[in-house]
Amino acid sequence: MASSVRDSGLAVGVVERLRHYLPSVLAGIPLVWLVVVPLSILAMSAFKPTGFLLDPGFTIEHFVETYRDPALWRLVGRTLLFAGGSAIVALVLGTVLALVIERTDVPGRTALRIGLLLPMGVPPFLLAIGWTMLLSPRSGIANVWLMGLFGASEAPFNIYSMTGMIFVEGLALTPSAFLIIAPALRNFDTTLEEAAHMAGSGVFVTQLRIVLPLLAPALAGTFAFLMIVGMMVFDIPGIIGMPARLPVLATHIYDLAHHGPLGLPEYGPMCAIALLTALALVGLCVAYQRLMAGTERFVTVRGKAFKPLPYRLGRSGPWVSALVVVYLLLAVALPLGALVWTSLLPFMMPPSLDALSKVTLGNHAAFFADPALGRAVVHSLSIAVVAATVVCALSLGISWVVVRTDAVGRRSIDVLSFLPIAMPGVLIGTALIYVYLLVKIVPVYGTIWIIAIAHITVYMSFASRAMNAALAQLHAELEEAARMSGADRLRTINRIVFPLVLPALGAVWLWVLSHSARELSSALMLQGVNNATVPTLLYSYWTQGQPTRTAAVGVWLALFMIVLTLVTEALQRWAARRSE
Amino acid sequence: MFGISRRVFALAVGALAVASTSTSASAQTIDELAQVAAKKPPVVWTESSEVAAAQKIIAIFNAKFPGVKVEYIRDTGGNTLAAKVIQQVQAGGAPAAVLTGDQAQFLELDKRGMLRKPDWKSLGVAPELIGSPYMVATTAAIGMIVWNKTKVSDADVPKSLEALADPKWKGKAGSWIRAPHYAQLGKVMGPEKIRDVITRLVANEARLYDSTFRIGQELATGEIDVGYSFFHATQPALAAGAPIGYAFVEPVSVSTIYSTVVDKSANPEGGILFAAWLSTKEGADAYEAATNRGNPYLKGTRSEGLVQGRKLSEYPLAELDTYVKLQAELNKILSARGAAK
Repeated sequence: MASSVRDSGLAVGVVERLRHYLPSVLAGIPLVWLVVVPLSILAMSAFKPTGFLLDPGFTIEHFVETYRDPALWRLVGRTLLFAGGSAIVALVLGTVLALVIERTDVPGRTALRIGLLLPMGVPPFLLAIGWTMLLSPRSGIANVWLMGLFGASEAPFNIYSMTGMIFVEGLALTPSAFLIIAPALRNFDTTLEEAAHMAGSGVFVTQLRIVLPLLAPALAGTFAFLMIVGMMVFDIPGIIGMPARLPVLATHIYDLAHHGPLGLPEYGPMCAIALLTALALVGLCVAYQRLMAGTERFVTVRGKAFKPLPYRLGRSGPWVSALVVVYLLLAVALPLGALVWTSLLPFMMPPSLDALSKVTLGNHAAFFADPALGRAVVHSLSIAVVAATVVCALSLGISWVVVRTDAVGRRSIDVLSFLPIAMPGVLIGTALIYVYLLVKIVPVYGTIWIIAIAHITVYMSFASRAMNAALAQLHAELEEAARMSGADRLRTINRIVFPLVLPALGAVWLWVLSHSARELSSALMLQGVNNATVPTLLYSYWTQGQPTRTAAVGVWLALFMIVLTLVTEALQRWAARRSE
Repeated sequence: MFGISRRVFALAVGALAVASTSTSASAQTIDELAQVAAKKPPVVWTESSEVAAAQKIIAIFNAKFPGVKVEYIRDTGGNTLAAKVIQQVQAGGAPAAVLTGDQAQFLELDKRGMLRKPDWKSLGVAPELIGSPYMVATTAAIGMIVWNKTKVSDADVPKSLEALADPKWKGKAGSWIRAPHYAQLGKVMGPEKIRDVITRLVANEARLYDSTFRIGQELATGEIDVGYSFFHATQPALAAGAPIGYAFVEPVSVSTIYSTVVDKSANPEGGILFAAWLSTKEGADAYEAATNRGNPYLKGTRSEGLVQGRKLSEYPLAELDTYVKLQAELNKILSARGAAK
């Protein structure tokens, strides 16, 4: 009898222990495969004399040489300036736009909300090209026009500057900021604001003292994410910063990969720099976790029903709408307009009567006649859909473990899910080549699926930040109520958690979809005989001196992405209505 | 750790064994190679030209060797060509058979015993194109002065690379951000001189582009007035009607691009056949027509005609170390890291 009681107590103990470990183990398995394995390869490569994983020898020379070089720290300083500036621009714009769209009765709200997703359809690479066409100091369309208008001898703007880089990167990052912050505002319980108003606070004071502090986790998480993206992004520093001799870490890593004089990529220093970034990221992540330690104070979605009432803008409504339209002009219409103009020319020219006489549809015709196009579109779409879906499923599970359970090791899981963003695409590609050539039972090398795996790894960072912020806002009482009503954990997630985080999940899906469809670095590194994507096709045109044809591809890619964004948004709304 | 070391050791032994048998492969005639290659998987060729251009070249090759299938993978350019082969061989994968790129990368592969050394001469390759036992000259990047014809009068056209450092071109000259073509000029101009010219060019706020193709386009828009670029990289803008002038000023910088055959590839025989064909007049013409990049060392090609009688500047392979060191120095001057504000 005593023995059976002991056994049963032991069994309860084991079950209890399992309950504490199992969620982390389940979330950890895919993360180990997707993040730890490639990251370990990079870490080991940093200690190899040649930088190649399977070469013999061991050295710390790469770290010593890299970190001892004063030029690196100048680069780090410039990179922080660029990333910080871009993150601030994007965070301010994204937050203001989210407040306007989610919390006011701005005229044309639905159309504007959809419009704000359109910039995601314009790859940063094309955004940078578009803006160089507009604001190059000697031939930029806008500069030439403004100089003519005011009779100025010097161009008013120079895109080839740090300010120009921050401006364009800020515009490129704004949709990401908007997509993280908007769902947080959408789920906002307005009771606190109403209380503030009752106590006599004005709109501005209420936003400053009530709304912003409650948004702190979303804002801090978003800033950390944007900052890291800014540190690793290559497109805009490559197009704008290189000609102006304004290098950042990402362009330096590109140099090390492609232009070392000894004939091989300098993987050792590259990995040493990537590990430094990864360490900085761990620091950011720990800081974020501490900020989130009192997560209860950020909860705004509770068991009771509420209907957020939008602020009435009154007569200023149309002006606020106009401000959103100005953002859309800067982020989409103007650069895309410059691209459309360029795509109609035989070679790059500023607008003039002479240029107008040379307008042709030849670039568009050549693009559609390219036999590689159809395959590339199918590849890009397949990769993007699979990556977006898998990332959503994984990030929901991971964030639920991190935010909602007391599982042992959940903080490590959180850090792991954030780490991949520290790995430049070219290094992810390098690591995956090793992984999938050595692990032959997963025969994805040379196929589109190895690119999908790279995208799943990289975009997990964004998804986990967004889902953490969304879940942190849901009070546990909702799930407790479901469980008290007899629902098991799976059913609770399915019926309570999932519908409430659906807007955030939809935003993540769309974000990953659009970013995957335009991703270049790892797709190029993992290119085989038959896995070309639309961005690699576009890159092919650009590097072979066909900017007008690149512009034609870019215009169609941007249009395709915009249509995809609109369709996805419509599907989300339909799904949300059904779940209601 | 020990497992990895054994693996590397085994790979090295294997590579040596294959290298020792490569003589028998090299003794094969073109017909024998074609017969063997036709029975094997497709020859994978990789380099940085765009896919459509490569397919034109392959089509002409297949007109002559219809049984040998060739597939193409476009490389990202730069140093990833050799690196990918090393990774693939180390991890037990099948690398591409033919690589077309610069000598420094192939030297690294040769040091690892990864390249075939056929008897190129017996396969009809002209002796002056055989850079070393493991590679043959396929094409070259030829440097030249370029300018916007509507912005620069005939009298003002720069007559030398040094002229681009003249203060009148401050902020109006364009250059590639990389130095291989400048380093090659060191052979004739001398390392000190070219170092001085590049330093002054950078101080003159030259626009440094990540691709020489972009120089042609920036000239076309009028963003820059003059520049130093490659012949092939200027052709797309010229063909589209851009008002660009060009001149080969002496010494003419030449950077030869070679083809090599990877031993562990699925079809090295086909690779040898294809690499040897690229170095024939027919292959060079096909390559030049598709990419605008020709072989100035092969008689009768368009590129040979362009630079005929001019003083060419290129370090011989025997002086590769000197070239590499100079390139690294010039890269640092040009590179954003060294020169940035």
